[in-house]
Amino acid sequence: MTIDLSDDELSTRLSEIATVADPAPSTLAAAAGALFGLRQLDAELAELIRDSADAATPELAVRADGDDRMLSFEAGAAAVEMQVSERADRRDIVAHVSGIVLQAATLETLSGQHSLQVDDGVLIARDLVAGPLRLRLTTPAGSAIVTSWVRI
Amino acid sequence: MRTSDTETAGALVRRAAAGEQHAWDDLVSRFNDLLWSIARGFRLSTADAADAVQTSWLRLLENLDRISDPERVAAWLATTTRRECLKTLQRGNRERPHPAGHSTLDAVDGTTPVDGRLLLAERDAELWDAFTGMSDRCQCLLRVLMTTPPPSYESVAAALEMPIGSIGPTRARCLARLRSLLAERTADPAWQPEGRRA
Repeated sequence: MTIDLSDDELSTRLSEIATVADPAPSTLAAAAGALFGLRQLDAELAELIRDSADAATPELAVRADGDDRMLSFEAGAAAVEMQVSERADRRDIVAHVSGIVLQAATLETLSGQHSLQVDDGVLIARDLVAGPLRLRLTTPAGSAIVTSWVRI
Repeated sequence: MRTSDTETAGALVRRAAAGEQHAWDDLVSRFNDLLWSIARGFRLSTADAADAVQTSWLRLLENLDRISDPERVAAWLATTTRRECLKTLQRGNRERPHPAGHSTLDAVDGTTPVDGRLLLAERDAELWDAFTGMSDRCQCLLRVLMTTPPPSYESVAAALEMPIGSIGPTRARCLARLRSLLAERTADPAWQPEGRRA
């Protein structure tokens, strides 16, 4: 049966084996499809421009004190610096927003949204479950900025 | 087969950017296995691999109307997934148990690649064992090449950050190595590299 397999035949055999031995979880594609509902067309994207956990951009990586992770987002003049502290499967974040007047802030995860108290441009959220997260920021004029999703 | 199988990836990206859920679903069904293969190629656990794939889809979602070349979305996704995997590895999450109650993927179990081995016939199980004993580089390349449907070499190059011209020769070397490992394990000359068999 396996006698004289060519490289292409061996590759085909491996592909067939992978679909049995290591398939993507069936929930994964359905979950990815459902993400489409999270699209926000009314908000400007503040892109992730720096992540201390990103090995691909070591020249940009910055280390905070200890093991905290530092993330930077930018949209035009607006900037968000986010510090993430890790405690087992829990996360604390402190974000500092500059460049815009901040009226309200919402923390969004895949399971829901929570309003955050705004204190002079500083946002704090504690005891978060590890996973994807983003911030939605609104100005007094009503314009909105949303950060890139990050997995904390 | 889906009706969109004849549609280009770029057309799907543009339709999804215009708000069509179906086009998004088609992108997911077309490329999810590629992203999964990449994450597994980096040897992430089931939970970490699922997280990396999901984050890559989120990244595409927020960039749907920003991608400079929608036709090359597969390579874009491959690069994104590679980076997410490297982040996970750098943060030392490789062996960490998945926190309970996480995201929408609670149903994902904690199986390792080896567990699926139980479902395989003996001969295939030997092949899979030999594969999982290979170097990281070979395992990553071969695992990505195991994607169904087969990925473009451009996507493979993006996933491994290697020149397209190196893929063919590296694949050949890795398959030869796999045959040697199998021959050692099973003392079966049928696994000898091509050209060396009688």
